Amino acid sequence: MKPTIDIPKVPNLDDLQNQKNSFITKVKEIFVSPLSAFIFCAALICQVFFPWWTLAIAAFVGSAIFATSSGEAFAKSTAAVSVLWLLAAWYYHFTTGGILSNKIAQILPVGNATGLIAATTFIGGLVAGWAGMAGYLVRRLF
Amino acid sequence: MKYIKALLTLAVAVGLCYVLNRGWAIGKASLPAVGKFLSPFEGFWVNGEAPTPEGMTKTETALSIPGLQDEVTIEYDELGVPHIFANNNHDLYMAQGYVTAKDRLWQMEFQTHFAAGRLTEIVGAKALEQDRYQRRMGSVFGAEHSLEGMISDPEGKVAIEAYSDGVNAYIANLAPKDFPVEYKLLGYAPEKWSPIKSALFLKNMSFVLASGTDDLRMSNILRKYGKQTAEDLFPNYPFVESPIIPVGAPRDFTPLALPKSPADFMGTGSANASVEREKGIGSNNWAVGGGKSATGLPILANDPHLTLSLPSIWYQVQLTSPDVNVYGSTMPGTPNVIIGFNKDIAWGVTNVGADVVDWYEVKFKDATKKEYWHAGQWKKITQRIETYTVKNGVEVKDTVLYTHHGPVVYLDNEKPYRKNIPVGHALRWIAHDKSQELTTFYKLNRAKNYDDYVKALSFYTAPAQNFIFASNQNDIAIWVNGKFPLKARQQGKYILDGTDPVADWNAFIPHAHNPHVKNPTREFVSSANQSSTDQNYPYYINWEFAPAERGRRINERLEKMPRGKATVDSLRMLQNDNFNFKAYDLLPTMLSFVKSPSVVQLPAVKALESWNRVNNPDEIAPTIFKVWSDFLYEAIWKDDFGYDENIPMKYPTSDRTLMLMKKDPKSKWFDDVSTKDKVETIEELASRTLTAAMDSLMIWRKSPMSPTWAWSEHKSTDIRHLLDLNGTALKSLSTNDVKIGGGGSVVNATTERTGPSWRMVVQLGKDNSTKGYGVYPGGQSGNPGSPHYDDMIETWRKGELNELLFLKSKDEASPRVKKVLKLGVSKGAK
Repeated sequence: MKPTIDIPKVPNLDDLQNQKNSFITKVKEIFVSPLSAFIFCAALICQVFFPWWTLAIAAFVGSAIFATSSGEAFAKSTAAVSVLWLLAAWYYHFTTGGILSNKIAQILPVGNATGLIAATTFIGGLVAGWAGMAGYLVRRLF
Repeated sequence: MKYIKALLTLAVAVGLCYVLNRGWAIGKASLPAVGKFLSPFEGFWVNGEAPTPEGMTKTETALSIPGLQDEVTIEYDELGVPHIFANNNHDLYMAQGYVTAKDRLWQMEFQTHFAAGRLTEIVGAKALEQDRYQRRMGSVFGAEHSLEGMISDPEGKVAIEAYSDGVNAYIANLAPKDFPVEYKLLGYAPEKWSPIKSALFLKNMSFVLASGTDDLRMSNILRKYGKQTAEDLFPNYPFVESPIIPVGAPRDFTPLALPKSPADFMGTGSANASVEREKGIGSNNWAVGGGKSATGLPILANDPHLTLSLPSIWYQVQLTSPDVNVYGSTMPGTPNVIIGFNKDIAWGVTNVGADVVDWYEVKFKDATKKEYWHAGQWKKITQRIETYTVKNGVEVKDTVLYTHHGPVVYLDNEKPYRKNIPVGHALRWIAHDKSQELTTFYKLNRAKNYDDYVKALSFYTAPAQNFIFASNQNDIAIWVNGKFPLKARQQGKYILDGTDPVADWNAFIPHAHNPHVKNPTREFVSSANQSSTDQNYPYYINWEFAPAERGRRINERLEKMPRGKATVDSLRMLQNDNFNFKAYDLLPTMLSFVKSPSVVQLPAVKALESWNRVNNPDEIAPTIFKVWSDFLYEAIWKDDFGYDENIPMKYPTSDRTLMLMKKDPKSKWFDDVSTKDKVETIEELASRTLTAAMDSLMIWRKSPMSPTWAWSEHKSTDIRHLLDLNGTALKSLSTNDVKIGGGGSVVNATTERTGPSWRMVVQLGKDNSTKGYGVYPGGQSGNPGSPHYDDMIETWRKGELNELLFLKSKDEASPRVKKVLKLGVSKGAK
């Protein structure tokens, strides 16, 4: 029998680099991709003309068309709408000098205006994520 | 497996949309529809307004509104006051409705829902008792009659209907994302406006100002102590007074005879007593004639005192059409300027406080309550079914019984006449009558002289106001004005016998006989809710008015103003006068009872003795005086008149109490009857309450006597948002702890929650030189997200006034005009 010798693999600097890159790449991919761009734009257009929950339809449809896994659908839907709501909320907060947001932040249990923006971002993302994931899973049935 | 996963995920997604799209009650708190509310596309985020950049050039927008007959130009100044220029009166009032709705829609709807007893539709079941009270008192009944009166006047009809159309034109253009933030917070949508709502709003002013009634309480006192004591402790004129119509004013009418007094009636007493009117509510006004004024023409001042709220009670507007150019404060919900001026005249109002609310004890035939006894026969009761829609569709019904007097507001089951037949108390209230208040204001807006003013006043019914007047023809005047029942003296001081026709309101005082004076020799007129006249006036208006302190102080200061020296500023300073006449009167007597102050009392006594009796914000003495005098007042009277919550009574006035302390210091009334084996003296009460005051203040202010005891801190004037009931959850929408002096019996009548809701001073001038100055504690916009929500509060706090922009025409160029809105006629078919 031929003896086999296990030669331990020496960590390759390039491999490490690739691992780190792949994490950043993955994150970048979540925010910047055809699916997220689609959902971002569709949700934006929907909400300008229709009630807020139509963002769920945008996420659902977008994921149904473009997503290749439920994880991707959830992540990219959440990312797209979170960013959309974050930018929009921050825009109003900044241009108005926080005149209303600071007051509302005292009424809701969010602490301060930053908490309010965070809560806004979270809610938008949450609804989109589940709607996107549902879109992918439902399409997969057919 | 795939199916289950897909279905579950879909269920979660849909579920989230549903849950976040509606409001939820969590215990006592309620959460708005979180998804909708936080959405930066339709939620509260879009209600925020960016501040207007400095040095911005005038912007212009155009809108077409169906229903307008011609173009209307609206110019907004730097405070957001709209100056409306219309080519006919229909368009003028339609525009007034439109711009008022644009700034104050939520407030208009909320306040009219309150007046209509419909709050349950907005806030749910917790408002049911409040709603029931409004409707049982007949507020809707009264508004319906009012409206009949208003539309019988052709000009009034145009105004009230056009106003309504204007409000609706604004609402028609609103998408959910444009709703005011309170709608989003509470989760409902604006409802269409209608003329009945304007009537309801005006009736609500009657509620606030002319529903104060002590008849039920006085009857309980009568039953317990008898007529002699009741009349002794509750006399029919104060000991010290400076009446509105000065002593010696000439009388220009021949009075009618008073009706026969109804027989004394004890009745069965009452366990219910309508809420006593909030004490801080009243007002001041005065005018100096040309002789006193530095310019030779009169100056007029007015500051109505109401509960300070946000959005503000008042809304400034300038109204211009071919037959009118008037500036002043309006009430969001009704057309016309209510307090204001035009180029020739100025006017203002304070509350009269007449006795126009009487209670009649109803004798029902039997337990079915279908008939009642009156003038020797059984008469039929009318039933009116009121339906309350609680939020989310649940309906509650209430049947209100009506007699010819008015609604039976209370059914006392406690002490029935005969077994199982409850005793009812029916309400006769002037606010139930058909009325034309709108015509009065319509005509005042257009008045040019004294005769126009008197003509305008003749249409007015309620709430009775002391209408003050000044003109550039050098006339000043004041009329104690309203529709007053012609009564025997003190008729209505106690509950009346509902079976006795002599006790009914059988006639009214002719308008021309209302108390009035024009160009009196003292060269000023004034009112501060005190007694309308001296005791020589031939008719009976009321047995009790507001305490005399403010009126006395105002008259004293105006008397002292040297001729030819009064300016706008002198009148403004009088509006801010913080002198506490009540302290001036009471302290010498109160301090005389504390002969050897204890260690705790000594610093208080020193502070009070060295105090100049002025309620300035940083003074400590006003705080000590207020707490001590309140405690002493309670200590004297609670055992006699406040011992049983089922037998509501009231306390004798401060004026009567002082007389008792001065003239009868050994009086039995100072004894606390609840301590059976002891007889208290006034000295003991004074000392005990002073110690208690110091102890309490140490606890409340969390320190011994120090600057934290400052009057403005203790008083803590709060200007609250209409939904901020307790100063808790919605505190951020209110302005709290405003640093300002004053007090309840002070000319600057600012208390914890009430105060001058509008301050105006007008200098009359000839040839278009009349100038107005004014401010109110709030802002033109009802939007908490607008810089104009509260931008006038600081000016008001400091006691300053803004110069009011009174444009001659829409083409007058002014750097103060920042925005122009052109409303055009809609081209398409309606």
